[in-house]
Amino acid sequence: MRQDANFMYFNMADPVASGWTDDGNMYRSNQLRAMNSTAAGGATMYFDAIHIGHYDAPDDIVLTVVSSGDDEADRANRVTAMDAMVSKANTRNRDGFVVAYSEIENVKPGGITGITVTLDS
Amino acid sequence: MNQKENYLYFALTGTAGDAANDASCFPVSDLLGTQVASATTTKVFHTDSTNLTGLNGAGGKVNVITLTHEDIATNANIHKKIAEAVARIAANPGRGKVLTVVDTATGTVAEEFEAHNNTTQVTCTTIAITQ
Repeated sequence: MRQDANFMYFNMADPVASGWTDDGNMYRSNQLRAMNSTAAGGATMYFDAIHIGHYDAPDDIVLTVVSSGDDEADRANRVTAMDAMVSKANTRNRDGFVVAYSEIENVKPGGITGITVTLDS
Repeated sequence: MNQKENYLYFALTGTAGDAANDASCFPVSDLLGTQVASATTTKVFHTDSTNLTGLNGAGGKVNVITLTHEDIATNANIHKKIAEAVARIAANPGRGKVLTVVDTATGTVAEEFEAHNNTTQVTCTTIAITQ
């Protein structure tokens, strides 16, 4: 079957300098279920609980964006970050693969300054 | 157009599939993703073959393949390269074929790994069903 979705790769830190688990994860883009704001400078992406398989403990990725102290600016920053992730999730190419965020490669779309990946949350 | 589905094939070293879970294959549509597991290993996740994926708590299971590869200390971003190779294999047009990802028993790896395979051969070291 030709892929109905790309795979999205997230690298949240240089694994050489940090722990191993969750530092580099690949998700099927059509299993991105939602994003919501979590703070002035943050939003969270929710995926199906694909790596561990527990539906009551999904995998989530916290996106950190600039917090300016101004509500409207913060809203715009979050929307820009969400829009960047939606764009990544809708990427389709022959390789079936897209880097959504990478510290190692300095791929930081939509003004996202950092991510935190939690499996089985 | 009604497309056929490919299956991804993995095999451990040694007995070429004589023992339980020495070799396995999964439909491409059940490929869930990958995870960094150590400096030299990447886990590949598939929907559980006994229908236990997605249950609550410890009841939710997945099938986990462990691929062993070059150390990230000597091959920067190797885990991403492995993940990308797996995604590329999965993106092959559906022809209803079994696509060998890593067959350690015969020393075969998919050509998508070749650029990442120069120093250390990518091998399949664990096939864990319903984990």
